[in-house]
Order: sequence, then C-alpha cells, then structure tokens
Amino acid sequence: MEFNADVIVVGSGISGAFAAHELVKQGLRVLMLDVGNDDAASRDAIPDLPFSEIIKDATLAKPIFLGHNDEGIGKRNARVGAQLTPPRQFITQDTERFLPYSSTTFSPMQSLALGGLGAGWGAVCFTFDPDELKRCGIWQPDFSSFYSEAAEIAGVSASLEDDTRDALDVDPKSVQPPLDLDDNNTSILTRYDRLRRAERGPFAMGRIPLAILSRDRDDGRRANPYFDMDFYSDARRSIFRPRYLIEQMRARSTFQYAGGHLVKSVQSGSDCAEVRTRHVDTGVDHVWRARKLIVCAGAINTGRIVLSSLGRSGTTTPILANPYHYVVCLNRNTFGRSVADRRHSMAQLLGLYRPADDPQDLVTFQMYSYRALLLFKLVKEFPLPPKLGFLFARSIVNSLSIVAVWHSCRQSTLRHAALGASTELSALPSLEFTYSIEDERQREILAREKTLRRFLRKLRLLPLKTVDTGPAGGIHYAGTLPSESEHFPAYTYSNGQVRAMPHVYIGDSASWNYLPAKGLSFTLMANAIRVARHVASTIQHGESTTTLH
Amino acid sequence: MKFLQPTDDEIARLAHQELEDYSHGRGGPIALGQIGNALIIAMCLAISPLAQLFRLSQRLVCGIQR
Repeated sequence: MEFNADVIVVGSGISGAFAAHELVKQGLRVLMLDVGNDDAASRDAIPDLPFSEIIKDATLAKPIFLGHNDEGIGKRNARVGAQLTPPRQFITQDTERFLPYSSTTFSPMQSLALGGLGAGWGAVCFTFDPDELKRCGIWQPDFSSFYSEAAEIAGVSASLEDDTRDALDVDPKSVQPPLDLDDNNTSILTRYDRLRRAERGPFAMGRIPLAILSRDRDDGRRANPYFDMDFYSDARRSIFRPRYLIEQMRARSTFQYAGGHLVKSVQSGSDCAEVRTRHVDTGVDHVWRARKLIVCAGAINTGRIVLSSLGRSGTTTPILANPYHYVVCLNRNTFGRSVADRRHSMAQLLGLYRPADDPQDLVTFQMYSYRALLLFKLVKEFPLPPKLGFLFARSIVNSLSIVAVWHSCRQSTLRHAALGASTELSALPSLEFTYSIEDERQREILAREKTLRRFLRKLRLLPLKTVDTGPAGGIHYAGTLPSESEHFPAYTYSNGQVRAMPHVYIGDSASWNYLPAKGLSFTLMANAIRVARHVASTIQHGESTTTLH
Repeated sequence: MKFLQPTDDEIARLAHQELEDYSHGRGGPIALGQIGNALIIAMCLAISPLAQLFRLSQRLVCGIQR
C-alpha cells in the first residue's frame, strides 16, 4: 500500500505542532492536514513600535486597534472570540460555518487557524503535578522530561525563587529569567511580600511563568520589548506561537503541510490509517493514508471527528471546561499615580490558593494590567452615560488590575456533548452542548472566590466587579474522548490510542479525564511529545519507513 | 440597570473619539494623585443618577415616537 507519510497529524495548534515536531525529530515523514487560516497581511502591517507611539497616529492606529470595518469594536453580548483584536480575528474565521454547535449553556471558542487557538494563547505555563496527571489519565514516570523539552522548544521565562515556583516544575536550565513587572504589578507583589505569613493564609503569589522570551535566542526569536502591543502583534516573535515550529519544519524535506483541508472522517484499516478531507475552497474531497494518525484538532473538534467516524450520532460524551471568572479590581497602591509605559500585555502575576477544606483542589488566579485594549471597551461595563463612563475609565485605568480566577473541572453527566447529524454538505456534524455545575460545587466556588476577594483586599486591591463569562469563556476544553469514565463510554487508552481504531491516536486534550485549575497549553505540548514518541516507537520497532509522494 | 448602559452605536462613536483624542495628545489615563482622581470618580458617580434619568427619558421618547 502507498502512503502519503509515515504519520499524518491533523491540526496545527499547540498539540499538532509539538507532535509533528517530535515525529520529524525522530526521522519520520510527516504530513500535516489543516485548514490553516491566517492573516499575515494585518500582522505584518503593524510597526515594531510601542503602543504609546502607534496610538498617536490616528491613521495608523485605526486599522490596528479598531479594524478596517470597526470589527475590533465588537458588540455587547457577542459570542466568545468576538473580543479578539483585529489582527487576531482570523483565529475564529469560518468556525461558525464548518464547526457547528448548539447550546444555551456553553459557547466554546473554536479555531481553524494556522496555530489553532494557540495563535492567540495567553502564554501562561503550568506543569501539572503527578496526581493531576494521573487524574487526567496521561501520567507516566518520565513525564517531567517532556515538560523540560517543551520549555526548551517554546522558550519559557519564569522565576525559580518566588512562592509560586512549584507551578513550573522543569529543569532550571531550560528556562530564561522572568520578565519584568510593570508598576501596577510591582506594587501588588511588594505589598504581598510585606504581608506576614499568617496574613497570606492559603495564598501564594509570584511572577507568572510565560512562554515569552526575556532574552534573545539563536533561532531569530527575540526578547519581549515591553511595547504593550502583545494583543496585536509580535514582530520579534517573543511569544511562542505554533506556526513558528511549522515554519521550521517546512524547511525539512520530511515534513509536508497541506492547508485548506477540513478533515471529515478518520478510519483505521488493518495496517494503516486513512483520513478523508474536503478542501474548503474547491470543495474537492481527498483521501490520505499513513501508517499512523495523530488527531490534534482541539478537544471539541477532535471529539467531533472521531465520534462521527465511529458512527456515534446521538450518543453523549463528556466535556471539560474550567469554571472561570474575572474580578475587576482597583489597585489602591497605584491609584491616582502615573505609571511607566514600559510593560507587556500578558498576565504578570500568578496566585495559588489551596482551600483549607481541600488543599488538593487548587484554585489559581492571574493578574493583568489594562491599557492597550483601549478604554472604550471598559465603558461598556459601567452603568454610566458614555462620556461620563469614559472619564471614569481614564481616572481608574492606571490602577486597574484584572484578576482571572480558575477552578478545576471533573467529569459529570451535567456536562456533556451530543453528536448530531450533518446538516450541510461542507460542514461536520453539529455538537449539542449541555453544561451546568452541581449546586454544591457552585456554592464551593462562590465561597472560595469570597475568600479570594478578602485576600485581594489585604493586597489593597478593591474588587469592583466579578464578571462571569460563562463556562466556555476560559477557553480551556478537554475530555470529549476519555480514557476512563464512570458515566460515559471510554474511547481511548492512556497512550492516546483510540480503542476502536488501532492506528489512530489522540494528541490533544480530548483524551483527558480531568482539568485542574491550571492553563493546559504547556501540558498539551508535553503530552503531544509523549504521544508522538510512542507512535514513533511503534513505527520504528514494527515497520519500515515509506516513500513520500 | 442594563438598559442604561451605552448602546453599540455610542460605544463605536466613543472608540473613534478615543483614537482622535490620543492623536491630539489628550487621550489616555488621568493621573492627578489620589485626591484628584477620587474627586473625578466622585463627580461621575454623583452626576450619574441624573444623567441616567435623562438618558432613560430620551430613550422612552424615542421609543414612543417610533
């Protein structure tokens, strides 16, 4: 039989890029199938200048900050993803057409972009501890080595001295020094350092580990310039994006990237895997074959593709998504003061909260400053007339601190997805989501956030408003093809292999059984390396390589 | 209170105004010290109920006329 590659990887997001990178490193021939929407023109049109310079020129600033057609202004009550800045709106392009869903309780952000949701990822890096990895169903004894490899590849900066150093347990040689804090967050960390240990209680704070370079690297990526333009552009490539790995691999003869292909189904034959795609522009169908297949289309779409391929219309499967809120606070430490322009736009401080009633069920929080997203977006949040609201925003923005709070998520019959029938020739079957939280868990979350707000007040942060974006608003999804479940069928093994498809593997979070209250992207990287290495091993020890055509 | 929040059109006008202000060097944060900024906020909150009442009556009139 003729193969297109040794391994086909579906999807170019964080998982797909890391899986493919590992396979290429192992000497295998890899084909990546992807839709791969991108907007290089908008990205490249943004000068490598600070926000404070760009904003002075209205002609230059308008397309960057508001968009050519005001798409950056957004509408109230818009879907998740509508808040993306104009140069990043390609991330959700075409998803309503090709990745349909219905739900009144769960509106996930999906992506068909080059780099997937990783194209807009906030770059926060966490390692899951062994217990969390076991609950996810992906633990193996050498998992920590995959994290260190991921840190080397992505480029991670972190503090190894702060009270939160356990949040990133990697080889110290694989990380760069932490990024500098802005004035707002420096004042918060200084205040935290001054609190007596008893006043800190179950809370720990420190500089947040980020996949952002604080030092230049040999591969052309450069240190973050503190321009506060990170939600719009990154001319120096300081923030890791999956497309950088894909660009590197495209220079190799053993890697082939096929863009514009929407995967419709996957199958496993006796000695190969088969993928059927439809080209999004031409509508032409293709069939691709390889010895093995790794599906990394994002937890929701990976579940959709595999369940649909297994003919499981109408069946329900779990969905995991971290309960997430953000608390808008006024930082009294900087209120009324000028602050320096020099800053980056991503999260700056990390908080860990181990509740007294269950210290294992960690709550995490991240602190952001606010400026480059512009003040008009804040005015929507105030029950004030526009001009008054704008004046109000201008007087508090220097001391605004946005605290994003995350809670863990476990499987439940209250949170599931049901596969429907395909409704349009060009689209995959629709998914119907149901998501609610047990009453007791909801009370627990509210009680923990109340305790957190008390701690914020000790830091001289005055909570103004808690915003509930809905359960999908955190953009952390997993668990649609679990390896273990009490209430749902198990579709995968812990090595990522699909039970009914021996040549098909899951490389993303679709196979996880649990989501701790931690950003999952760094674990996606490590897990993709783990799955790809296993797949490579099965090929190298079982079969000869193929000729690419 | 949601009906008193700015409409999408008002927000769009505000967005363009914000860019215009920046280009004329009068945009961005106000930093007048703790007392100065507290006074601005207090003024906003004091005027707010009256301004909201005015806006509500405006919207009611517009609704009736339509």
